[in-house]
Amino acid sequence: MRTSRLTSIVSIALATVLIAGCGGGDSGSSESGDKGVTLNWFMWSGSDVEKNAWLHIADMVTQKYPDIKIRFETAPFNDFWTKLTTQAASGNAPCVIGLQGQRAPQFGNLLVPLDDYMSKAGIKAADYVPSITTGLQYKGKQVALPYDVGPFVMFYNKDAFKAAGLKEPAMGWTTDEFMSDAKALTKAPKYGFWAQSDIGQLLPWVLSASGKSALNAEGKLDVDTPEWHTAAQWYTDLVSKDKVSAQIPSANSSSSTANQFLAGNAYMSLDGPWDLINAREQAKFKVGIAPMPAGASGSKTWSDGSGFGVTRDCKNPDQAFKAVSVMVGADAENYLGKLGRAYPALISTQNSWYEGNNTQDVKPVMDYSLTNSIPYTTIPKWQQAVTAFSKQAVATYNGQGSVNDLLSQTQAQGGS
Amino acid sequence: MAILPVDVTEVASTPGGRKRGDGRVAVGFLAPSMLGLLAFTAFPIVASLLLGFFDWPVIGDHAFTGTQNYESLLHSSEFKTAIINTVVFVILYVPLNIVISLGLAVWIGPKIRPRGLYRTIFFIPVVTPVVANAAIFSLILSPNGLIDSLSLTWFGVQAPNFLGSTTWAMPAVVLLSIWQGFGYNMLVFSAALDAVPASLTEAATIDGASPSARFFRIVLPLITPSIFFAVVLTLISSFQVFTQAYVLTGGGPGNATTTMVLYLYEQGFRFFNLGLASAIAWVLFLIILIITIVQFIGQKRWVHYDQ
Repeated sequence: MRTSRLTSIVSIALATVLIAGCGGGDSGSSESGDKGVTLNWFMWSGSDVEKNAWLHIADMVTQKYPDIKIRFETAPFNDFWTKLTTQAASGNAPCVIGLQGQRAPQFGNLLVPLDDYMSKAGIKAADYVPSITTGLQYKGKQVALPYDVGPFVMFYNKDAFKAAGLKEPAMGWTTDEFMSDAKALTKAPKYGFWAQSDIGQLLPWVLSASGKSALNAEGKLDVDTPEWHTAAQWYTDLVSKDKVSAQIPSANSSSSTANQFLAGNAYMSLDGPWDLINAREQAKFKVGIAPMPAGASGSKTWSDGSGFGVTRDCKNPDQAFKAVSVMVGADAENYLGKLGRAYPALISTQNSWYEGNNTQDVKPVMDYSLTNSIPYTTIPKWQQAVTAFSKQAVATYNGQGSVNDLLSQTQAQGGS
Repeated sequence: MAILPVDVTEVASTPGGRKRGDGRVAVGFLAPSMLGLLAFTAFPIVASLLLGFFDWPVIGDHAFTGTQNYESLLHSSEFKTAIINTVVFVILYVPLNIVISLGLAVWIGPKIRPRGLYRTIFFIPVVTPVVANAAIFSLILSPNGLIDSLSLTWFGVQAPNFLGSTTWAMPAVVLLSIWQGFGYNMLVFSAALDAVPASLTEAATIDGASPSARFFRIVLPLITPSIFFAVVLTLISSFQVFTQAYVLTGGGPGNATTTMVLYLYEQGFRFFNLGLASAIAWVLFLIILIITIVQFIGQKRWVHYDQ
């Protein structure tokens, strides 16, 4: 009897320990004695190289402020948002988090407005690229400080243009020139252009043709409009009428492994400079970039970037802001720029990206495109809208649905 | 000699005590898994039932909304599409799965020589992760993929864009699911076929029954319990189809392959409407429950348990 009671007590105790081990009660920050604080920093990373870069930045924070220790947590980009959401729901959001400009409307209310901190610390928003500083605002308040930014530009295969005897796309080229180049380059199964089902791929064409973005003046989704219809029809025709782009393989093919441009199957593709260094390393051809071809409204594009903010759950917001100020400061920006991880948002440090990666050749295009870009502003229900868009775009672009389906469904999901 | 009866009476006088003692030990040993079951199964079930009656975004304020989630599902054309897609998948997938796995089980009968080898080979897709299978399938089915390249070199014709076409996407998802799933049922049927007494088929042969008569009149009725088991389980799992569509087509093109669970996933984990997602889960549960009850009632007509 005694042994059996003992057994039951032990096994219940063991179970309790096991269960307790499963539930992680991790607070955003903790006091580590009188020596200072430890802050949790949650940031996405896609590789060990990237993770090590962030760890290096964490060390930079401790070097500058020895009383602040950083505990770095990471997840791949797509999982990052799910994990962040669940942590925030349980009131356990890490102190410092990464935030992408287009996600600001979705996550802005998790973050502390930084404007007062910035003026106290003497950090000027004007030192950063304006489009991304605006992009990281929520209800008019700065909720994150940017570390990188990039305009969506045209990547092109220099070798293919040379082989076809075409003049390389340059500043001031037009949509008509794009079309004639794409036609000249296309010899199936190789195509002049790589069309993709993402809404961010269509947006620059709408901007350049009409100057309209995805949102109206009140900040509401407004894509079921004549301007969007015209541009979306033109884009659809690239795939199903003019056939200068391959069919869209599936709604789930945006991964980099499916990159048709890098594989040499398509000779032009819209992409951000954050992919340029990787593209130049991987591609077996020379990669050039050009601004968006100019339409009726000129050469317009969007730019987006990311930054760091302090969460409302954080118990040491003062120290957390100090940490952020180092993460987006000149030393960290120079380091990230030289490494090719980020095109710095801090204007004074942008040369590090050109010099560190031999990309001086693209400086005019970058400067021009950044000047002619709008922030990638979105709405709280942006995920609903883009999910509906990218699923229907596969059918529409491939000629199995109308542009009306595409835009009305997107509007229905993201509107209201 | 005298000790033994004493012991017996002692035990006999406290039969309940002995039982209680065992019971406590049993509770102790069961506790880890019971606690796990409570924490990770029973609690979420109750929570999701309650959540279904709330507007419950992950971040932000929660509000009791009564049956509003269920009403909005009733009026949602996307949810209707998701139900129709799921039913189409079930109708295509379940019969094909049963026929193929039964056919293969019959084929690798005792006369086929490296029988264990075939069983192992056919079972490999089951133990391969779905994601890996789906990745291979998308390489095969994509433009410039295996089928497209072969068709171009052999016939000079481009193959359809299987995963990007509203016509072909669902058949592609069914195909992947069959590849993933037939091995399990094949193993079940193979074991059931081995249990059919040889004396019965031999007697029928002597009576002059043809091979097809022997199979359909004797073997098949004898393995109906296994077929029933396989059909019930396959139906339940096919109503819950998710990974295949998620990895292969992302639910598209359009909503062509958005199944109920994929729709649930989008609502719950992409848009973070936990209330609506819970309501979807309960609708799915009810559908599966009703179909399973109907199957259990209907089994009297065709399942033979006596040999």
